[in-house]
Amino acid sequence: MSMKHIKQLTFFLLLLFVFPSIGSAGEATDRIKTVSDKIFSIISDKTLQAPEMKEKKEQMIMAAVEGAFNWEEFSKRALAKNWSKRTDAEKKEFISLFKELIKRTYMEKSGQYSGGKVEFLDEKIDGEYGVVKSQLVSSSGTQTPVDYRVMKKDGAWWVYDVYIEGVSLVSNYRSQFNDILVKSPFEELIKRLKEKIAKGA
Amino acid sequence: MKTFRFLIILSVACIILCPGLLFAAGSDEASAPPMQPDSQTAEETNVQGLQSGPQVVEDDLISPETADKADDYSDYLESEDIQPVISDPLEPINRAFFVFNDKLYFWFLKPVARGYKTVAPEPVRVGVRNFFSNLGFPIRFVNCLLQAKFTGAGYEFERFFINSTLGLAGFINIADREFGTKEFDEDFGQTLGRYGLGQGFYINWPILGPSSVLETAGSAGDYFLEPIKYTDTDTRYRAAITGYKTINSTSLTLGDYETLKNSALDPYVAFRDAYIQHRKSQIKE
Repeated sequence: MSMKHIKQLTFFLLLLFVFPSIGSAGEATDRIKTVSDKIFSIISDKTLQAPEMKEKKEQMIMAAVEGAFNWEEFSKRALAKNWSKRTDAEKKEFISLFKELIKRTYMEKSGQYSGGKVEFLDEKIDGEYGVVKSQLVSSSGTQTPVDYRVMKKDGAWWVYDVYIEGVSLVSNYRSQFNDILVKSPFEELIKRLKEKIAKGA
Repeated sequence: MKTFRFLIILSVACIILCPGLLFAAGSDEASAPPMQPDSQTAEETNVQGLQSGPQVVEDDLISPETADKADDYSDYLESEDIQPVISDPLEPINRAFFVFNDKLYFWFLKPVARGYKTVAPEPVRVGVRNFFSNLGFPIRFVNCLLQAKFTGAGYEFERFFINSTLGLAGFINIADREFGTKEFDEDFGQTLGRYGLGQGFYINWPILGPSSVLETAGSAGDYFLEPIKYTDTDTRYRAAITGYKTINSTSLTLGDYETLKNSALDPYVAFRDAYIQHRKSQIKE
């Protein structure tokens, strides 16, 4: 660390004590940070590493994610104009399958966790919507920008999309779902989602 | 080596032909998420759009303000149309090369990178990555200038100077660690995009992977700024250097390809979309 940095850091720490409010990064960031801290403490918990604890660990992570992710909003945007044509039962089934698919992928990823940290960089709020910018820094120093799109619903902030290196998760699935839906009926999409989930379990 | 020469000639041909092709395909930037007032028309446009490439949507349908807002937050609610991120007239060929590249990864690149990973400890591999990344300086520097990003160009110059000297020929990324000067990852594809050229259509090259007409032209332009090109060695050695660079960077990102592939219902569409979204976000920066 250079002298300049140390000076900046000391100055910043001083500021923190003088004005405690600077330490708070914003409502939306706080909400995501709580979830992310919880997940990090679960995946780095040694007692949960054992294979027989896998299911419990996954449940704990999912419970934490549920706290800030709104799956209905994810699903609505992933289906876009195809959403309004669905019955309530179809919507419900789709939400649970879509959630399962995302869960399956990222649980696998969390199993490979080998150190690293999350840094929250910025928060922009525009009325009911906002973006929380963060980056994942791996143990080898690779930085991956992760942006959370958030919306205010019933007085709380909910994540409705995640951008990883500029790639929107929702848009990525929307392209795939749409590709299937222009050629086949909705039942086919549900069938393929089920197959995919069954295959990787 | 004939294949390499062929690829280069093809790329150069593309750079010459690209302006025509780009304008023929229509700027897909212009057709960013439109808000159709009538869902019936939305549906028709969509069907047409998928059959005959991207439709240039009349800009005056939406005020720029609403478009911005829609793009930023409330994008893609149920009333809206789904536009493909890029047109893909070569889909059958692209899909064939996707399968080819996928096999290449699992049967060759991945086992080699894994073997290499067991021999070379992580700090060494990070060092090698830093070394190659430092060599990418001319590309980033020139493209910063071309996009009039003078602060970026300044940072890049500073980084190159610090990393090449204090960072022992670039192996230690000391500029990032001690001075906090971030890399400005600019290339010619982004420069062309910055000046309003659309992506054109999607091309999935064998070996090289996802690209577009625009990005292919960009890589051809950057090719001349690649320091390895000017090393006084045989083409075979240059190919070996490029190969080593690829294996080294793969060894640091093993598993990323698999994650995206496993998460996808249709991996081909997932990679096409992710690539184009990623490039568009880089151009916007």
